[in-house]
Amino acid sequence: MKARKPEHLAKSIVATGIKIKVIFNKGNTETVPTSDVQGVLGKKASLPCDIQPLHADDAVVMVLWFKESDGEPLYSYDIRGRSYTQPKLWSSPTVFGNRAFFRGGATPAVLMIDNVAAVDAGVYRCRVDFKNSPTRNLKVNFSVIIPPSRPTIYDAKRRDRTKLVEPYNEGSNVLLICEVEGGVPRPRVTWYLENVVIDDSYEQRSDGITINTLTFPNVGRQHLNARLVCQASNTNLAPPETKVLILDINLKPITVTILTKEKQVSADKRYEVECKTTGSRPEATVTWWKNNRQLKRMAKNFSENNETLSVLSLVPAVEDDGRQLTCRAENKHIPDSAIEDKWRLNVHYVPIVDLKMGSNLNPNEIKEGDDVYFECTVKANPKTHRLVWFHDNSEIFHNEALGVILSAQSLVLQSVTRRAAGDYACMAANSEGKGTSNPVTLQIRYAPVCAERKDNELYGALKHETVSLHCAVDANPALVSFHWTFNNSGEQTDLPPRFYNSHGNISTLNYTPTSDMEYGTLACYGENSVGQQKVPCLFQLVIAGRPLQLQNCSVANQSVDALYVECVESFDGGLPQTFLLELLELPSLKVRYNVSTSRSPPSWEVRGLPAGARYRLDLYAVNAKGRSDVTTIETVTLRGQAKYTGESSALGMSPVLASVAAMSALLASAVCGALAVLYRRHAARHRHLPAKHAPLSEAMYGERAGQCPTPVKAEPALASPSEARGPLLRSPDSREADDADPDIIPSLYERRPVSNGYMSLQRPPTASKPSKPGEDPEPDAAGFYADLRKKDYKIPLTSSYHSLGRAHKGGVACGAGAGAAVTSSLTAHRLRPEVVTTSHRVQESCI
Amino acid sequence: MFITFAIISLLIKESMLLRIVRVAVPSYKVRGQPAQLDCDYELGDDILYSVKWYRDNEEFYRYMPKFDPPKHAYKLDGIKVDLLKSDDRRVILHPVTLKSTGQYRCEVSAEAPSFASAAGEGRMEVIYLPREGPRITGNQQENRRGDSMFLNCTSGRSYPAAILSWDIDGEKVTDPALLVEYPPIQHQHGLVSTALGLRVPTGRTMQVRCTARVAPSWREGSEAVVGNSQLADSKEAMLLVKNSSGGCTLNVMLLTLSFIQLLSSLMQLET
Repeated sequence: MKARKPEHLAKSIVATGIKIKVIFNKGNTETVPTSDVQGVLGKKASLPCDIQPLHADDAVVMVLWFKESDGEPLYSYDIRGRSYTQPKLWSSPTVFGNRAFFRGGATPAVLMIDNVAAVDAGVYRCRVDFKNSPTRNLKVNFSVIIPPSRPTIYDAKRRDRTKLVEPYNEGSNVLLICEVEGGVPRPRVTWYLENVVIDDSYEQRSDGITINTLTFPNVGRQHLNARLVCQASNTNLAPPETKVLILDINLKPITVTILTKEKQVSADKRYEVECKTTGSRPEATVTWWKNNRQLKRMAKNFSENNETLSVLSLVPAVEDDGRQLTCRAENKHIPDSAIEDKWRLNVHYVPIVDLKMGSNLNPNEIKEGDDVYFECTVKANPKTHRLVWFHDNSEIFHNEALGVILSAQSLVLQSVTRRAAGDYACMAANSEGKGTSNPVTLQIRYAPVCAERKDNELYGALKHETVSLHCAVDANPALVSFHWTFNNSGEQTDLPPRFYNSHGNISTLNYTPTSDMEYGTLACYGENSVGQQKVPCLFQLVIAGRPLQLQNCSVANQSVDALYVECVESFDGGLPQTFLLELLELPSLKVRYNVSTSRSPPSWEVRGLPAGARYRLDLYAVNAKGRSDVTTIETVTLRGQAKYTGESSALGMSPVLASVAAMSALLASAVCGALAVLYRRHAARHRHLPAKHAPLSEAMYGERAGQCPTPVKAEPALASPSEARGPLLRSPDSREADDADPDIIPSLYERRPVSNGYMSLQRPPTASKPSKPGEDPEPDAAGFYADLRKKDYKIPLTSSYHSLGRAHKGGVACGAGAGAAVTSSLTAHRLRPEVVTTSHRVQESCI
Repeated sequence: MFITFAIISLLIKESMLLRIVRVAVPSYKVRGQPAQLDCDYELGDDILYSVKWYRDNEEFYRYMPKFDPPKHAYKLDGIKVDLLKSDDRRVILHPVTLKSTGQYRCEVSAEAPSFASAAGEGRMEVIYLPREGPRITGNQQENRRGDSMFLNCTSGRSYPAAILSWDIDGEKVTDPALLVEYPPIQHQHGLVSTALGLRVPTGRTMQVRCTARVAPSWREGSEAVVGNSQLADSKEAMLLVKNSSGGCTLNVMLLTLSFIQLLSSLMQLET
């Protein structure tokens, strides 16, 4: 039962519910005008009755209402003798009782019935008595409408859809059953979508239920929250019974877009990639995929309205280049609802460089002379714009002449030498940076060769002195076997292995010469798997002797009363040497100062000289065997004068004069030199006999030196070997002093002559003039010496000077010595002869 | 003969209440005669409020004691109330016309408070009997071969319409192939005449008769009633058909052999 409607509504309903159907059946009894009136159960109804008199002067006196054929009226309206406004009303208590009220003032007049009951239905007659006019009888066919029950909406599973929270999926078909119980007359059951009828076909079942089954195919986005209304109505007197179903629909996502598709990204940098999807309801599930592999737990999702924004934290890796990054949005509730947007990653990265040696090369089998190539594989995005090669961290440049060929991605080394061994790398650069390859080590196998600057050394040794000769070779593989030979006067003999022991690429020979015959060239040969050493490492073992002349002497600094002089030392003759400076006052040639030093390279400083004095400087090297040839610096004048060198004085001459002078000077110096040698040997023999460590007498040196009468100023560079020899040997002192017999010297303290090996230092051994065993060494020594001097300036020295532990400490003044020294400025500093003596024999030469 | 009218009595549960005892309305009246309508009721404990007479739901007479005058007649076509002779239990109509035909109802109502009402009704028909007999007309052109001829019989004006029939040599023609019916012809004052055609086979001499009968036969069982009453009327026309052998000429002699008029007497039964 409905709640009672407001009265004004009921009135209007009643008014519209009247249908007057006047039937005149002539010849029939029923000719009473009849109107059809409907009332709704429980509501008000009004039965019309026109009481208006036909004539203005007439008046109603009575209205009686009858039902069907009842004799007794159910309602009377009596205004006989009354005013219109105060009728006498009576309602039969057995019919309407107080539910009825006649409104005579209405037009038409109506009998109002409250709270209509089903039994109220029937034919009513109203009889209107007028004062004058004939009585009027009117009939009302009153029917009572019983509203239907409220509809119930079921789904196909007969669940009450209005109580079910289960959205439909977009695109699915909606089947809804609307059931209405009861209703008189049977109701029409209609489906509305919003206000539009979409299904008005219904079925009336015999059990009193009226059904309308709605099939609503393919619900779409436009139907979201649409109102589906099932309406049951059997009258327009009362509002229809309705049930509303608001469509809740799961919607597919419509769009998905990766918002930040950058043209390129850099590897290992962090990017926030945003993906927006719209249209899904409920919110879409956004997943990220990289080449069909899902990226989990790397994105954050934000949802608002129908939009979902997913932010992926992406750190592209190098291998991501070219991969597809996919943002997929789907509604989990709807199968196959996923849509995707893809982004092809363009990952830029520092070049990845890989270096390999040529594939057909066996890295362990590369020998000198082979061709080698490397291939540099570069993986880069963007493309590299530079490819650089390195060998042991130094850049390599294209040089076809050296057999270094750089091509696009490869390096070719033609005919490699062992210097090509080492670590190779290539480096590529692009906008992201530089990438350097792995180092590839190139190993080059080669037969042993003497370790650099270690071959062809000159050693001085006394008889019975044991020298250790270290033969170091470079070889690859470094596993080397050695053998040693001794060569004297062209005879070559192998040394028994017990004399030497070998370790890796070093062999050490302990050699003890016992006779003159046992001085000579010791050769060391290494051999490894590649082959035998072609050129042996040579060690020239000579008998210890006088040191060689100082070279390259000059006044390095000069002040009013001081001088600073430097020289370059030469071979020490196999014994410890000291260096002597004598200042000879000019023109008296008296020795004024005498300064000695063992410092190496030798240098002297002389102070407190009287201003304006002029001096000549004589310079010597001195060891236990005696004093070397003098080196003279002519005419040094104090008082701020420019320094004088032998060379500078020679520069004053004309070329012709100079050459003539040089020729004569060389001749003179050769003779002088020879004499000096003879003298020194003689002197040394006497002085060094007493003790093994006999100190060199400074005075003696001084005397001897001063006796050299013919100091020579010469240009050694221009001198021929024969000419050079003369002046040097000319000194009678030296001839006297010379003691060529080594035997005289006790075996403990051997004098070491400059051997032929010294010469061969400068030239191939075969070309050297061998000293013959048993021959008097004196002339040999002198000759060698001269040879040496000649070679000194003619051949660029590759050998180096080695002093094995001999100390050269401090300058010691050994007294003033007068001696002319040959200034050999042409002899480069590097051209010093190599002299090695055993250290344990001679410690200090001048104490 | 008296026609007995149905007595409608509404038996109300209690004798104390108003009830109709009898409403008497004559079923038939010949035009021009008076008619008396009776309405007999018992008031019981009630006081009379009104007696109303309706013809076809239109009030033409009322008797209301509290009104002055209590008797009042309304003008209705075909109704002429003799107010002097009418009272609270009867109404005299004089004379009746054809338009007086209708359903007459008497409604009696008691005074306040119940205004209990009761009603009874009856139908009255007014008839008009023909003044002239039927006429037979022929048409010689009907059949040139001369094997049949066609006759029409037309009744005189009456209400209700006369019913025509043919008989040949005393035998009623029922073969519909020989009969031709026509729609009734309307005349003034609601009078009606009818016609019926007959195909007459020739070749022999015969007596052809047309009978026109007027009776209120439209009510169930009225045939019998009519036979005994003054309300029935039957008139005939006779024709002798002679056949001249071999000839195709037809002599038609129209003869009115007999003219019988039966006047039915109107019986008014007052039980």
